[in-house]
Amino acid sequence: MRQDEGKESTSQSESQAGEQDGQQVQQPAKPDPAKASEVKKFSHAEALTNCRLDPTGKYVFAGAEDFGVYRWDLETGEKVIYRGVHDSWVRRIDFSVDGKQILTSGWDGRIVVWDVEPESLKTVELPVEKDTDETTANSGEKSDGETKPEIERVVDSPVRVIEAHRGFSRWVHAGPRGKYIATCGNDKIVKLWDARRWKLKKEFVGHGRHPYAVMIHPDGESLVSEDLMGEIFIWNAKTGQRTRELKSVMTGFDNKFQADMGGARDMAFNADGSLLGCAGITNVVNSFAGQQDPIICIVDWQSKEITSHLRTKSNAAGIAWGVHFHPEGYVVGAMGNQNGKGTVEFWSLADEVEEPAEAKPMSEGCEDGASDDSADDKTEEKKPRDIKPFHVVEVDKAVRGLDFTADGRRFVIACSDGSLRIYDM
Amino acid sequence: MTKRRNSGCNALEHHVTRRHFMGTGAMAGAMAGFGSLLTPAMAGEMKSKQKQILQVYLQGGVSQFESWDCKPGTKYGGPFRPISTSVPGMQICELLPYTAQKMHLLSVVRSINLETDDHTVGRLFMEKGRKNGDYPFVGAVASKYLTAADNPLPGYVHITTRGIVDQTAGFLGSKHEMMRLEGVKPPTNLERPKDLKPELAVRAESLRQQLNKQFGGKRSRALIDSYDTSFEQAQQLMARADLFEKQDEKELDRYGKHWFGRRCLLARTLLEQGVTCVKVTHHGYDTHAENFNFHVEQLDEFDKTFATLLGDIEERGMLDNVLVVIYSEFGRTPKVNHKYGRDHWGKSFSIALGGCGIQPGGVVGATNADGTEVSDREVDGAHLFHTYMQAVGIDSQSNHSLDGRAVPIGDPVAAPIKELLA
Repeated sequence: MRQDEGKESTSQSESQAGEQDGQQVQQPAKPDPAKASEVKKFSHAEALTNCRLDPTGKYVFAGAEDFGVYRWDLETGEKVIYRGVHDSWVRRIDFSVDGKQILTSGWDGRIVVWDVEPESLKTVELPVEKDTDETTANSGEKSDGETKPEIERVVDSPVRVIEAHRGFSRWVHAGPRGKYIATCGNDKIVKLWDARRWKLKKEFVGHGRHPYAVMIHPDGESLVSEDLMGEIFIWNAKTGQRTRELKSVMTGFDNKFQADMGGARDMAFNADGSLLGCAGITNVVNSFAGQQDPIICIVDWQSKEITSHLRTKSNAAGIAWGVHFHPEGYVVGAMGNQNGKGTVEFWSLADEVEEPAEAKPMSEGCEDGASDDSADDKTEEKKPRDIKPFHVVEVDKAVRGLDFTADGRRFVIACSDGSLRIYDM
Repeated sequence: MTKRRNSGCNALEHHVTRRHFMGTGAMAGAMAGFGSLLTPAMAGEMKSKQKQILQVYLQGGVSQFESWDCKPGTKYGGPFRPISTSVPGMQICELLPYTAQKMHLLSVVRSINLETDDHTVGRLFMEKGRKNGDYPFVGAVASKYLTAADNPLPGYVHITTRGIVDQTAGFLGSKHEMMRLEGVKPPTNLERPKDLKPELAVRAESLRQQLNKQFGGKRSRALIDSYDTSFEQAQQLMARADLFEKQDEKELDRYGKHWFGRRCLLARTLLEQGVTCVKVTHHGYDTHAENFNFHVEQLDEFDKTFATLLGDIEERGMLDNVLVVIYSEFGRTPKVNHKYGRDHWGKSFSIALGGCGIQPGGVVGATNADGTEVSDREVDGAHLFHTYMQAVGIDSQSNHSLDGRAVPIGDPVAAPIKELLA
């Protein structure tokens, strides 16, 4: 159910409501994707580029096709603008491990650290737009009601600004143990930073094309990054060596226009780090028109092999912009389709619906000779399984970002029309 | 103006032209090697008498926001920032850092309105200076008026890999038709078949000429000229087939070993050798989706290569005689669509040009704050065509003489952009 901006739905998901009758307390039902319904919606004037829920679930943050980062209070709908530092679009948002700070990476090459709840907010009164209707202007009549000036609540003092990359900073990820931050950018370098002082600890060089995303594994020992050519590199965080290279299907050469397109548009580990999800595109036909298939590749971390290809239900052309491992064990993805619409799709990795669509090279040994245990085990290559979703939530606009609350009962999506939509399930 | 019928361009001639086009296009690739034999000084001396044109065509419509007319921080400005250039006060997009350092050699026109968002209409308008009619392209006109009679090379060469096959010479005849090279690949059938002895080839040519006389006795001369042109150019190029050689690796290191780098190096060679108009196409700007990521990739490839080519032309002393134009058939929409794309937009876009006859370091015209419309000095393809012609010394306000009839070279309703002319 879609609601007006900031208004809550009158019908909450039944499965969410735990009942309490004095002494007997029922366990709340498990979140059910089939019952996912939109309960709130916030709007912004420009298209959104991504979104993240803060770890407490109180706020949702989003980047936009302007130079701002926006915070909405999920209960009150209050909107706060973080601006004045980035002078390009913010593509990725993450949180410090304690959840008190947000990290934003922008195409200006910067990583900016902000307080989630800054001590003070500036209040800016926006100028009231004048009535430009000529008939009114010429008649000298005044409108009956006075227009109240709109108030902006602004954060313009960041905690820290890091000129992280020469060329755009495409990604920032705070490692789960709180010690390190990983970034990557159009200088083709993956960087590991000390999280407290933002001192550069190590650079990881080897991507031939622009890396789009990087994550620190939950064990803190490894990093994984993926570039435009769909090449997934696994790095030893201590030595800086590339220990593994996976060639994914997440790239394509547009023969008509003679250009490559691909790369991870989102990346996520599951809670124990046994699985990695990479969201993006495959089967490029005419990428300049957005004609390619969305895909999410699942990597088994132990074997370092791509084991599953998550396909959309409709096979609509588009891009997978979001991937998330739900606490209940399934995978959730967000799609922005070529036709301007979107979906949020749910896959069970236990399902197998289709035969593999095509045979593509999977894992290969790394070039520098370093290897991990599983790399030496040269058994017969397995083809990834093609899996179709068990449930789809249709969205009338392209979805560009996805995040869940920690309990997996609520998710938020950022859309191309500037809307931020909250779903409970 | 009155539209003139193109009597020299009937269907049969087009057919012949296509054959000529396909047949000799590959052969011209044979010229790739011998340019490297020239020193910069020799090339400059050779070129001192001939005006030439280098067209760099960014096929599909490069975004003006992501190239020559940045609007940072505005509603439609996109994520990229402007950077300073070698011209104080002039800024272009950060995706062109190498070109930015060459802007003292170029000027920018930011106020083009073609009133079309159609690829074909836009492309033809930018090439012919007319929105309608069977008029010749810039390169064909240059070929006719700037190519010396004894120049054995074709007057108009297009280096590309794919693309639309336009009829480019119009009523000027097949001699001035664009010769299309399939990238820099060695041409097929370049060498004379081994079992065809030279003396037999001479006799075959003699027989061909004899048959031409009989065939052409009561027919249009244009038909026979088309055939003759094809054979003559083929023979000239076959005679120089031994000069085809691999491109110099060190030069490729400078230009880039990608296709565009190789094409631009070949373009330099062809200009050094005296081809009047060389057009190089860089594909991949029709970015209805992922406009920003594609422009990052495409302009990264374009920027260093183009700046290297422009620098070489300048270093060789050729720039005074070579008009350089970087253009597209239109620009891209201010509004960013749901696919992070920009669509077709011919209402307010930009080009850059410099070299022969052009005042460098200038900016002509402007768009409004959001880039949605031209706000100053609106021009279109006709004005640009006049400007190109005047820059290379062709009086665009005079006429072609077509079987005794006068056909205006440039559209009489338009005029050159005088502030651009040196």
